[in-house]
Formats: sequence, C-alpha cells, structure tokens
Amino acid sequence: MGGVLPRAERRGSALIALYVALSLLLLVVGERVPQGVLREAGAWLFAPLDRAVLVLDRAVAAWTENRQLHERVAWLELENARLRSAEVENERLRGLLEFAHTRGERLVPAEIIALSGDALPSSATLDVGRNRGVKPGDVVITREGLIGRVGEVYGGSSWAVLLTDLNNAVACEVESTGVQGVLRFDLRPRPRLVLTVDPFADTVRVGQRVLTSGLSRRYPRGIPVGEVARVGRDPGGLTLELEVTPAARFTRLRHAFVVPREGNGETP
Amino acid sequence: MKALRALIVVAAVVLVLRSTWLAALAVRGVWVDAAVLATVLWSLRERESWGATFGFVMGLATDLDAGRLLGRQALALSLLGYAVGRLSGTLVRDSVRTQFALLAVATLLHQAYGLSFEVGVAWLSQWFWVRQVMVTTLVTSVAGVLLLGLLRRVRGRPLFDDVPVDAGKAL
Repeated sequence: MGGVLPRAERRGSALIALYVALSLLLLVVGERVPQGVLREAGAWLFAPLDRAVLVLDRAVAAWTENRQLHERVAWLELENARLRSAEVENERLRGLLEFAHTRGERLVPAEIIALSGDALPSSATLDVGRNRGVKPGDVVITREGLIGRVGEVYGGSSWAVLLTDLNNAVACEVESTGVQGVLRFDLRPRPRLVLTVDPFADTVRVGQRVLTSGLSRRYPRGIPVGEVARVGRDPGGLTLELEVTPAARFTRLRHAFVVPREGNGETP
Repeated sequence: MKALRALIVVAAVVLVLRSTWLAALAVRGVWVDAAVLATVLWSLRERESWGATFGFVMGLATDLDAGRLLGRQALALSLLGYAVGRLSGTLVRDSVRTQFALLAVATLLHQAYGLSFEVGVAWLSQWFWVRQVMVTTLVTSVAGVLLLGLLRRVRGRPLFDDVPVDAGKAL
C-alpha cells in the first residue's frame, strides 16, 4: 500500500490510524486520565480569553442591567425591611417552640466566565476558586434560585456542574405540600427538568414552587429550584413526573453565588 | 510550524467562542456546531493530514471541556476532518454549493453521533430532537457559508485557489 499511495496520502492515512487508535484507547482508559488537572490547566489558560470576549458582551448589556438592578435594589430594600421584622418575629416564635437556631449563610459572589457541554451547557466555569474559600460540593445559586454545585476547584477558578448535567440529581420538595422527590435533567422526549415523586402526590398543582428538600446532604433545604409546569405520569405508571421550569434563568447566566457549606470536605 | 501555530490559534478561538457566545445562543435554542464548522473549514483548506489533526485536537478539547467520556468527540472529529480533507482534493472547494453540502452532511452526521450517546438511538423517533438536528444543520451550514463568503471578500480572491482568478477571460 505504501508504494501505491502518494506520500501525502500515506501520511494522512498513518495519522488518521494513529488518531483513531488514540481515541479508542482514551474511550477505554479515559476514566483513569487525571481530567481535573487538565481542566484546571485549560481553565487557567482560557480564563483571560473568555473574559476578554465576555467584556464586550457585558458592556452592551451593562447599561440596561444597571437600571434593572437599581429598581431591584429599591424593591429589595423594602423587602429587607419587611423580612427583618419577620425575622424578629420568627426568632421569637422559634424560641418559644425551642427550634434550632438557624444561621444566615455566607455567599461568595462569582462571575460565570464560560459554559460548556455538548449542545446544551451542562457545566460552568466560575471566577472564584480556592482563593475565595470555595470547595468541591459547595452549592451555586443565582438570585432566582439553584443552578448547580461546584465539582472541581482550582486556584482562581472552579468548575460547576449545572442542573442540566444528566448525572446531577437534587432532592426536592414541592412547597407547602410536603411532596418530595428527586429532580433530574432529562433529554427525552426533549430537554427538561423532571421531579420524580410517588404516585399519590395528587395534591401538586401547576405553578407551585419546588425547593431543595435538604434530604440530600449536598444541598441545604429551602433553595428555590423552579416551579411545576406540568404534572404527568411516567411511562411505567409507577411514579408521577413533575416537569419543572427552572427558577434561575439559564439563558442569562452571568452572576452567581457560591454558598460555602459548613464542614464541607467533599472531594470531587 | 506556521500551520501548527495557526491550528492552535484557530482551535483556541473556536473553543472560546463555543464557551461564551455560542453557549449563550445554545441555551436559547439556537445551536451552532462550531467544532464541526471549524473542522470542515480547516480540512477544506489544509487537506486530510491537518484536517484529521485539527479534528483530533478540537475533539479532545471539547471532550475535556464537557467533562464527558474522553475520546468520543476526538474520534468523530478526526474522522470527519480526514474525510473532508480527502474529499477536498476532488471537489471545487470555492463552490458555495459544495461548501454548504459538506457542512450540512458533516453537521448531520456529527449531531446524530452525539445524540446517539446522549439520548440513544430513540432520538430519531422524537420530534424535538429531529427538528433540533435539522435546525442545527441548517444554521451551521449557513453560518459556515457566510463565514467563507466574508473571508473571501476580505481576501479579495478565492479562498482555496481551485478556480483561476482570471477564469473566463480570453487568453
């Protein structure tokens, strides 16, 4: 064959054979390759480039966003005042009922500098890492609700697994009904968040809020996840499938907060 | 060495765009298969050896970026780069129809391959995915042809030099 094909074609054939062999080898032993280290190097290398591209994008949106944020701040000031009075009342009532004292959670502001995944983004690169005390397993939220959790932490950045990752599961409950289940991202028949609950959860109505239930140690209780968009039965008829519209706007993921978890020593 | 430098720069630019602007478009439902687009354009220009190399590098980077099975995209894109590179020797690469057809077929194959891993072969019976593959194929092909047209305009002459610049002029 070597004598039949021209030199350039021989080289091409040899290269493709090498790449196919390497790809197949990686498919077999890829799990053993230290992907975290490689991703850390990639994040370090690409973070400045990602930022440069985003600067232009952000500048265009900044003006509008600024006005919206002013409105939001004013509204939150009012809400804050209302919540302060509610907190005082809550503390008093908790004291009366001898409930455990709950602490306010610290939030680490983060910027989402890149999204990645096949077709739909399933992970995000955040601009905070070990330098800000972020640890694997910390929860990532936006002001609207949960978006995922930190999977890997590097020096000045981190890699978060989003709710849209097929391997991510969150223990959730439907607000005020006590109905609990597991929320997953499903691609069939179309991309959607599905909360699988027991078949007797007939008290659930479209529009009710879905929150983290705290049953999973990974997510603290009470973080908004979304709201019920549709109630259906799974193909096998054993469980109810609640389609959930995410609270966080995945089309506008820019700023997020990492919620450091007390005693979180999780390794990726 | 010059080609290697260009390969690294182009691959880096595509990866950055893929994780910023194109990812933002993707969550709005407009998917552009940037990896295929870049691999096809590169292979058209540089033929099979560099086409396969570019596809392999791009595929490996996207595999790593997505945190999925390593080698999956590397295998698909290197084969795609090689095939397009081989074909480019027998095609009129400056023809808009050729470019569109190559991009469409490559995107279609790549999407089908990717979805078979993510959703399973059942995607063929689910209208959402069939429609999404068709839209992605169309958007990617149109974007590729427009990009090549723009580059050709900037350059001021055919990109691939298949057609003589003075074609049709009486000698």
